[in-house]
Amino acid sequence: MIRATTGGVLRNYRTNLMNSFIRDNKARETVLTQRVFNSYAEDPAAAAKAFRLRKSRMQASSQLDVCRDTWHKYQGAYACLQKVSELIDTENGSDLATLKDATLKWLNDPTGDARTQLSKVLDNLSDTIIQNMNQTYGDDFIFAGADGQNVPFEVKDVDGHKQLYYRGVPVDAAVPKVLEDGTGAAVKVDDNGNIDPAGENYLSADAELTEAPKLVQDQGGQTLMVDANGNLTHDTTGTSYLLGGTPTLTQDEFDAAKAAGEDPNSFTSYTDADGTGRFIRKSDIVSMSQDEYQEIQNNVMTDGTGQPYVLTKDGKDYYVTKNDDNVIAKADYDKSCEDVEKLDYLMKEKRFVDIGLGLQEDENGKLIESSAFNEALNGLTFLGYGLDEDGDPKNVYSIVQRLKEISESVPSGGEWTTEVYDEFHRLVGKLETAADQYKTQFTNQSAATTKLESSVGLLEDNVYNLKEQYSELEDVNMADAITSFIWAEYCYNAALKVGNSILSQSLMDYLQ
Amino acid sequence: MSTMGTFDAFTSARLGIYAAQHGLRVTGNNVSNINTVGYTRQRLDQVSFKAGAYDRYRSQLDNHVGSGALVMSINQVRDPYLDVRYRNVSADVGYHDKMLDGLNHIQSILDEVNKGEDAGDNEKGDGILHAQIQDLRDKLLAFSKEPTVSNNNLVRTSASILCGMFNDYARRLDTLYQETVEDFNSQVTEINECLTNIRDLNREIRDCEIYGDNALELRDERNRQIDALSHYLHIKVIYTEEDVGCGQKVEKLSIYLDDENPDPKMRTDDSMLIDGVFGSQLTVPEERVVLNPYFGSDVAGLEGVKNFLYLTDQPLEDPNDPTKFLYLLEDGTVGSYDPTDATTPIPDGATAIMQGTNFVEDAAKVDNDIFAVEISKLLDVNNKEWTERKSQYDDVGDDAFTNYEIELTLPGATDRADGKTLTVGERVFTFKDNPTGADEISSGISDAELTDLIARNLYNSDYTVRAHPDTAAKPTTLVFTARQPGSAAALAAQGIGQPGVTIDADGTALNATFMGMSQDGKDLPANEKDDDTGVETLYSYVKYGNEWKQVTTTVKHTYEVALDDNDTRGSLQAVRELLTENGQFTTKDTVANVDENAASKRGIPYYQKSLDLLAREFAKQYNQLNQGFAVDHKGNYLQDTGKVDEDGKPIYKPLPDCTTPLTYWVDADGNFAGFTNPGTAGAKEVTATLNRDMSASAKEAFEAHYKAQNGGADYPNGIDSYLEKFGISMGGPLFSTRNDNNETEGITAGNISVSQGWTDDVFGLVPKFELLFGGDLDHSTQNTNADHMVTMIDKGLVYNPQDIVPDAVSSSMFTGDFGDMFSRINTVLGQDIRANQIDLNNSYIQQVEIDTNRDGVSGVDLNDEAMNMMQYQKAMNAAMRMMTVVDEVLDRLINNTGVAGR
Repeated sequence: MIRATTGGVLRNYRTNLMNSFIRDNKARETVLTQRVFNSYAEDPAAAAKAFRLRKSRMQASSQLDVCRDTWHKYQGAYACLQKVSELIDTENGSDLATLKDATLKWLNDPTGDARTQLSKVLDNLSDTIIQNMNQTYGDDFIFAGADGQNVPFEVKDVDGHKQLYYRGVPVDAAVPKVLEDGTGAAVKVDDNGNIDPAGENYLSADAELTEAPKLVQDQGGQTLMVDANGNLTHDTTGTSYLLGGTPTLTQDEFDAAKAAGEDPNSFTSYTDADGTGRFIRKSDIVSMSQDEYQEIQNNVMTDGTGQPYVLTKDGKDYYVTKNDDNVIAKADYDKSCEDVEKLDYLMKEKRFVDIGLGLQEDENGKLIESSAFNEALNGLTFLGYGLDEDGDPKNVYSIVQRLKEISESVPSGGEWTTEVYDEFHRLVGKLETAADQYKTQFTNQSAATTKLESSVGLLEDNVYNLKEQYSELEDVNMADAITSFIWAEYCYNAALKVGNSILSQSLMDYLQ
Repeated sequence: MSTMGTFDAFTSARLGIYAAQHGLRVTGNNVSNINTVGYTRQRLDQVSFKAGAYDRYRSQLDNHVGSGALVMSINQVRDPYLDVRYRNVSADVGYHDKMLDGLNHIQSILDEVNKGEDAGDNEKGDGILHAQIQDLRDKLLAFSKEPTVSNNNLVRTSASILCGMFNDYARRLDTLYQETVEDFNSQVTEINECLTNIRDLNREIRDCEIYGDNALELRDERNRQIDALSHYLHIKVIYTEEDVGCGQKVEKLSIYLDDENPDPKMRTDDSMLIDGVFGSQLTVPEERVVLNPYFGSDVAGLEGVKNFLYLTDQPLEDPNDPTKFLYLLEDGTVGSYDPTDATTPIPDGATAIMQGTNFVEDAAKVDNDIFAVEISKLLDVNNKEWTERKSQYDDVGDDAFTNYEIELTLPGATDRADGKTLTVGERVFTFKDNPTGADEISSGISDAELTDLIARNLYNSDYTVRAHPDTAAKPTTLVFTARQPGSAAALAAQGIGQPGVTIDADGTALNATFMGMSQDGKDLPANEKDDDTGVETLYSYVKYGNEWKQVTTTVKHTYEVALDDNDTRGSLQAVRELLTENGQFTTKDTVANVDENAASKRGIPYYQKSLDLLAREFAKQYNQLNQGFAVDHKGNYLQDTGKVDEDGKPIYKPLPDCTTPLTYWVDADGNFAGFTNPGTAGAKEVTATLNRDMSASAKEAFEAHYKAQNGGADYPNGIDSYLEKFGISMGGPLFSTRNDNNETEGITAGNISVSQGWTDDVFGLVPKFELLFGGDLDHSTQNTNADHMVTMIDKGLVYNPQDIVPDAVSSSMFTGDFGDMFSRINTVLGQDIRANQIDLNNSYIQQVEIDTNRDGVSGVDLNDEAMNMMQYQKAMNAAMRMMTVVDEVLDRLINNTGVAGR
């Protein structure tokens, strides 16, 4: 600069004074707001990061709420399950063990009073179990799976029996076992009660099979009958039918028997369809009277032509004894199948919540299950459902109800028969099995509760850490901020002082 | 020794006193103006004065002495180089200052740092929109847990608040936009004031200079105006000399734009703004969007167009035939016309239907594209147009020109029968055997008389007309000779066309024969005019003796210049960019043809569109999530059987196509390949049923299957059409363009609203689309769709600018969730602000430094002036002392000399 003019010096001073004032103001603002930056422009990267951390903190807080909520729900579930566990525990000192001992004592109760008491205890026990399994947490039913707003377990009176329903589905539902023919195909029954492949109804596997009598025919196709003398007749004059199980001799064997001295009149004979001569000792004849044969014919199921239906299985022919109770209507069959399908669906049902596992969906919008927590507590998981291979219910409630019904089945004053006792004892064994299953699930649930508890702790730490992280980004170190402010103010004051000296002196002041 | 004037010394002293007095006046003036903005320090231009001359034969002892000091002039002390630097950097300061100002305003709207209410967890600073998005998430979470009416309403309230925030941000950005438009117009006005002031000052300074005045104060004012102008525009200032005649030259100041455009082909960026007494003005052509006058009208025929969005004021196309345009008849019916078909004109009384916009707020907007600035022609204070004319004489040789001639043969005697006509210009003559009127010619007229008659009628200033000299061979031929040399084209360029007549006889055209015009067989140049630059090149010919000279005169005119996008810099350009730059929303056409860097420039429209994109994507995702068709637990779409079970619950069952397989072919990669064997390697036949979770190929197959039904008439939209017809539709759009409709097209941040359907509880949030086992099984807390809605808040989405501007240059702006996108908008804004802040600081420091340097040259310094005061005071005292001394000496000489001995 060749010349430093008054105006130029003043302009420079003004600019620098303004800069000093801006710095002073900025330092003051930093102290007042206690923040490192007050806009994206001051530090775009830090501001964006701080917002991400804040969003994470808000989500972690939300997840913490959900996790706490779920944890408390699980704690409630634990209490309920603990109570039920105590009820069905078979260990010494437990309710069920006491019940078991009492039952054994009451078996020979001559008056039946104790059995009445037993029935009531069993009834109460089953009701208590269901009451516990219908507990709520807040407005939601704990053990309702993914249907928390509706009561899960419901007991209905079906044909005088207490039937347990879970979310509208009978818990003892099972696909009915149906009668199958030799090829494994279900035997179908039409609406007229005839066995007909085109029919839609089914026949229970419990249907009684009677081995079909095998009649013998001669070379001319005539059914052989036996007369009163034990001789075969080739017409309908005989009194009974020759059955296929009758031992026969060939010509050579017959000749050998004669040579051995047997009376030829003690034999009768016929020519079979192959043209082979067959000899029968009259004493060996196996036959069935016409009445007996007709009786059988009348009590078996027929096909569409009115002929008895013959079920061939394992090389044998059977008649199916006529019994309407064994016919399963299609609608009932389908209903049972659907019920089973529903139960299977319900057992797989899940209700996912975000407890900080990274809740995420795949590209098709499906939740990635490992990124969320399945909070659904399905009551059937604990109590069991369906029937076992013996046809007994696997559900605790249903077993107890069966026990109760057995107990009630013996009339007052009557004694337990061995069969009843065995049945009762067998079912107690099933109850123990169901209780074991219950305990296993209870243990799993306890583990989940513990996991939730630890998740709550982790999320609390996470929220705190996130606050720490964005606090580090956003919040000033007050010592630094105040020092900077004091320094900025000092500089500003100094600048003001300099200004005073600039304006005060020039050669003009020294002119005489 | 030469003679010496007795009183010469008095003159010297007097001139010294004058000079010192002037010096003191200049010093006083400088001190007085020390605080005058733009004042330039003045300096006395003083020279030594000597009267008389040396004699050729003077005595060697005759020594001449000077006669004192003369004040030649008073000048300014100024460094033009510093002015150039100052004005260059001033444009930078203006640009960054204004840009930063605009960006800061955007920041004040969008930036949520340290904003937001205390949510009760002692956590301030969670933001406003950010926090509201999280609030919506929380409400959706509660709805997912318990999909009750109450929770639905809570979500709706939260969504409504969010929409309100979008609306508020958009409205404030729009207000900012309007304010910036006003700022832009205001800047144009200020620039025009500067230009007018400079032009007028130029004229005053010119006048002063002609009269010998330096007009220093006017120059100061002009410099101040130029400095102000340099803040708005990047300019260069050029000083030249103008010959005003009589050998006198005065200074001429011209101002141009300073070649800012990086595209070397662009010439508009050095357009002239000021040239001496001529000055231009900036203009901004305005085209406002007009309101569609038929919006919502019940006029028959407009059903298809009345709800369209139109952005121009062009005629409205017929929606049924884009080659036609609509008109409205007096009876209220609508018709259309084909502008290329003259046989079907617009009926009398019909009015054209113009395009417009359906949005009142748009109607108030000025189209972004029209912020292109135009520079007007240069006019002086009397509105006389600037021209620059330069002539040059070229010798074109001694050969005589043959003038341009045309021969025209009139009808012969056989064509002059009674009743035949002859049209000459506007006059129509009729041959008559017995002529009676002035326009009747005797059919027996001789050839000579006829040629003479017509020649007299055709005589004009451009041509001479005479009968052909060879009357024997061409008795009825007229010869037209141009009055100046040149070819037909050259003459036509000067407005001298063919003889302005048409001659025909009874409808038979008479052919004129062009004799040609040339010099030595070459065509002479025609006058030219460059339509782009307006420069005219005129040719004329002057004959000196026998020698012809070609006079080529170049006449430059100024013309209106439409500035290109990057033709200038400064605060005006900053405001233009704030109003026009779209960043990644810039169209491909703009990048290709206007500014290749446009995609990286961001103004208010970029932030408006970014916010629109966020709002539209948000609405799109939630509208999609809340609309669908009921499915069973296996994903089969359900239909209502119309029956109810014993509990009164409706019975639903899968649609037929959900259980009947469709057979189609896929290629080796599993892609749908049609319904017949494509015959390619690896192709195979597969089957699939209609299902929500079906494979991509199955979905494609079903789409094709439905669209093929009845030529596409049955199911024009494929699966959707089928499901709409037979399925069970659930939910509806949650967000629309207005609170009182369910329109989802064209959602922006400014109009996003909770839809009418949701508001009026026509539909609510759909917690799930699954009806397990046809609705037999309830699952009240397994709300999969509500869960999707929750996860959607944090889902990474691709934000595509082409969703807002279909031909935008970028198809992927950002990938992230809603909050991230909003954060991204702010981050970009923050980075832009930082970059501008740094640039502004740098350029401002430079400006201050240069200004200080300039002040070092041109500024008044008190110490300097004090020194000058003392110096001139002493000089004046000395001159006065000198006068006293001379007076005393002369007194002695005159009064006291020769008195000895008295």
